[in-house]
Order: sequence, then structure tokens, then C-alpha cells
Amino acid sequence: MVSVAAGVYGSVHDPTGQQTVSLFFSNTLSFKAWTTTLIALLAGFQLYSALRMWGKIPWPRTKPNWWDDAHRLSGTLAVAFSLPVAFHCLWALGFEPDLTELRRFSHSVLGCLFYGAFAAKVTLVRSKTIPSRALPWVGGVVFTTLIAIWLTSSLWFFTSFGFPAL
Amino acid sequence: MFRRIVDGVQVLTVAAALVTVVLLAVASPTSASVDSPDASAGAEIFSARCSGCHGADGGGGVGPRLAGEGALSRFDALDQVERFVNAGVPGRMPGFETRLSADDVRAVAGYVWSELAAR
Repeated sequence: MVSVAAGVYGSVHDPTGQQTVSLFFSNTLSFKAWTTTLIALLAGFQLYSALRMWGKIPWPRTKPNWWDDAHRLSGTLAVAFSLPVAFHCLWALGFEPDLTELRRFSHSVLGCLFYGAFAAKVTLVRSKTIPSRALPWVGGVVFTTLIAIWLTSSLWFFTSFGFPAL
Repeated sequence: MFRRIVDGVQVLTVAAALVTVVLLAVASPTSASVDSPDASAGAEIFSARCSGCHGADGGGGVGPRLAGEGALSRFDALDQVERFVNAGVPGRMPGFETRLSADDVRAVAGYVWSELAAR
């Protein structure tokens, strides 16, 4: 439902083409490329900390008692940092419906999918009825979607406009 | 203590998400209405409606570079730029015929043609 809502908004909203937040970067696109890179790094820590939580990797040998909270914090920060990025995508650029524009189309679909998958993961974490073994799968979808978003935006930006392209 | 901080960050993130949703619903583009098609008005419209894709200085971004020897080199005259801005490019750039007044299109095309292309 969240994914569909984002897609519908991006499709029916008239894109403004306007810059929004840029902080200390030269323009909004640079800000978005670097923020998405930071989010991808946080997603990497999410994956690593989750693997340790589920006992799939042995390091650190003794799990610190703050480990689970650090996992929660990194996920929360990733979503918080994604908000201004998503705002510019939806408000200024909109949903790309043209299949021939493969990068933009796939990025639009992935962006919508990410928030849907994230909403599903939060629902799952708090649910007492859904089996917890579903959590790694949904978390995997969130992580994979996020990395694909980075590949279709930040990586494209850095390879098109140079690095660091501040 | 750390858990409390994380809880606080989560509450702030939920609040920020709600603010984002509200902004998506109510935020309007910066006003770019003009009375006369002069260059400063064109610059204002460019900043409001075009810079998100073509860059603040016309240097390019999602859309092609307009400054200097950019995409404008394909046009021979200002009225061609105006027609292009009005029509857009399906799947790539929105047409502005129904989004801007004829005066606004003339102003922004004039700015792009005379100011950006000269850089």
C-alpha cells in the first residue's frame, strides 16, 4: 500500500523541477548522491549487525549489549536521511513511466518498493502473529532494494558527473 | 541510556516522515509569475522550474547541460527554443505549454537563449 501510494503520488503530481535541500553541496543532486551513499553505508551496517544478531557470523565473538540498539539506530537514521531525498524525487522529478528510460524507470519502481518493504519490515518486527523467520527475508528485500537504488542514482551520478561531484 | 537515545531518534524520524508527507501534499513551487518577459524574470522561472534537472547554473544534471556549448547549440533561433519548452520531450522533459503562461515561456526561453548559452 505504501509503495502504491508513493507511485501514484509520483505519477499524478505535476513535477516542479525545482531544487530543494542542498545543505553545503553545490546543488540538490549532489546532496542526494552523497546522502544516498551514506544511507547505503548504514544499510551495510544493518546487514552486518543483523547477521551477527541471527548468529550467521561469529564476530564480534561476544555480542555487546548495545548491539541490537545500534542495529535499530542505523536503520532509523537510514530512513530519516532518505526523507529529503525521496521528497525531491517525488515532488520535483516524479515517477518515470517510460520503460525506454530504463535507469529512471527502475529507480522510480525501486524507490517506491523500498518504502513498502520498509513498512512491511517495521510491521513484521512489531507483529506477534507473523513468524519471525520472515524477518530476514523482508530485511533482505529492504537491503537489496536500497543497494539497487544507490546503483541507479549515486553510482550513475558519480560516473556521469565525476567524483566526488560535490 | 543508549536505548533512550535510539527511542528518541525513532520518534523524531516518525515525526519527520509525517512532515514529509504533509509537505508533499501542500508544498507549491516557488512562485515564478512575471509581468514582463525580461531576463531576471526568466532567471527566476529557470530557478523555480528548470534548475532541478538542468542545474542551478545550467550546467546539467538529470537533464542536459544548457550553458555554453550545451544542448542549445541545436537551435538556430529563440522561437525554436520556445516551441521546444512548450512541447517538451515525451518521457524526458515535461512540456510547459500548460504549466506556464506564454509570457513565462518566452521569458525563460529568452534567459536560456541569451544568458546561459553565452556562458
